[in-house]
Formats: sequence, structure tokens, C-alpha cells
Amino acid sequence: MSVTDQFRRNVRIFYGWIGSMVLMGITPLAAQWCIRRETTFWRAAGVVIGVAGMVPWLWVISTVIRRGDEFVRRMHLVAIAITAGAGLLLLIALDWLERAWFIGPPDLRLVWPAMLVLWLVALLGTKRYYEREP
Amino acid sequence: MKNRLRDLRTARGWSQVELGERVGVSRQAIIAIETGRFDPSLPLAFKLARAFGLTIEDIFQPDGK
Repeated sequence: MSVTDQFRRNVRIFYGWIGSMVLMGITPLAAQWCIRRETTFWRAAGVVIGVAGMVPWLWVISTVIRRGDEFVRRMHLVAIAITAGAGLLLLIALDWLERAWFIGPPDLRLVWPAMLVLWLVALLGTKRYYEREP
Repeated sequence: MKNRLRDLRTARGWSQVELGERVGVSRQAIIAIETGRFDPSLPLAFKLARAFGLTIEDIFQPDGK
């Protein structure tokens, strides 16, 4: 693949990423609007729209990982593994904090963004680990 | 695994980007291999060896050696 083709492909992925981020920002508003209509149909539609809003972004991220070289794939694999482990610990900690009456029922609207932040931190940490001299 | 990638690359006056383009990987991959944090797959090791006109053993050595 020529450098120009590679550049065009990267630009397309970048636009896809921007578009998916916009969708991820808009769909919760649309989902909330649906849920507020209170009928079963509209509430179900709200759930579907709320979940579906994440799918394009995850698809773009998976495309970036699949098209990367073996090092990029390794880096993402390690970061996702760290995120899964840290996420599990976070959920267990919240569970026990709630059981011990230190906190109320955890707000899932804070938990899943926290998982995204964990993923980003894990990715940056992994990148830094591989680039640092031992 | 130890490797002589950085020495070989600088001896030829290639940048990390240039070497990456020759073997079809990113600059980050070359950095990670040079620091010894990342061991390349066998196909990539062959590509690197071919880029330098050497054998894999000329570039990569097990830690014990």
C-alpha cells in the first residue's frame, strides 16, 4: 500500500472516529427523549438507541486495532486485559462497599465511563511501558 | 531476547520510521523492539533480517547468550 493510500485510509478512519464520537454524544439524548415518553415501546426504543450509540465507536476502535501491525495489536491486547482486570476489581470493590453500607447502590452512569477512563489510562501506560528503556 | 537492531539501523543511517516502512510496521513497533520490550513474530523477524541482509541469529540472541 502506498503512503498516499495509507494516508487516505487513516483520514477515513479519523473521520469515522469523529462521526462515531458525535453519535455517542447524541444517542443518549435521543434515548432519554424516548424513555421520557414512558410507554413500553418507547422505553425499549430508548434502551436500543442508548446501546446502539456505542456500537459505531467500538467498531471504529476495533478497525484501528485490526488494521494495526502486530505491535499495535499486542499493545491493545495488554491494555484491554488490564482494563478487564481493573474493571472487575472496581466492580467488586463497589459491591463490597455497598454491602458494608459505606455507599448506596452504585450509579451505573458513573461506572461505565470509569471503565472507559481505565481503558485510556491502561493504553497510555502500556504504550509508555513499551517505549521506555528497561 | 536481546537484539542489535538499533546498532544495525544507525550503522546504515536509517531512521526508525524508515526501517518501519521497509518491514511494514509502525515506528512504535521498531522502538519497542529496540528497547527489548517487544519480541517480534517470526515473519517480522525474517523481514527485519532480510532488510539488513543478515540472518535472524545475527540480529536476535536469547538472553542467556
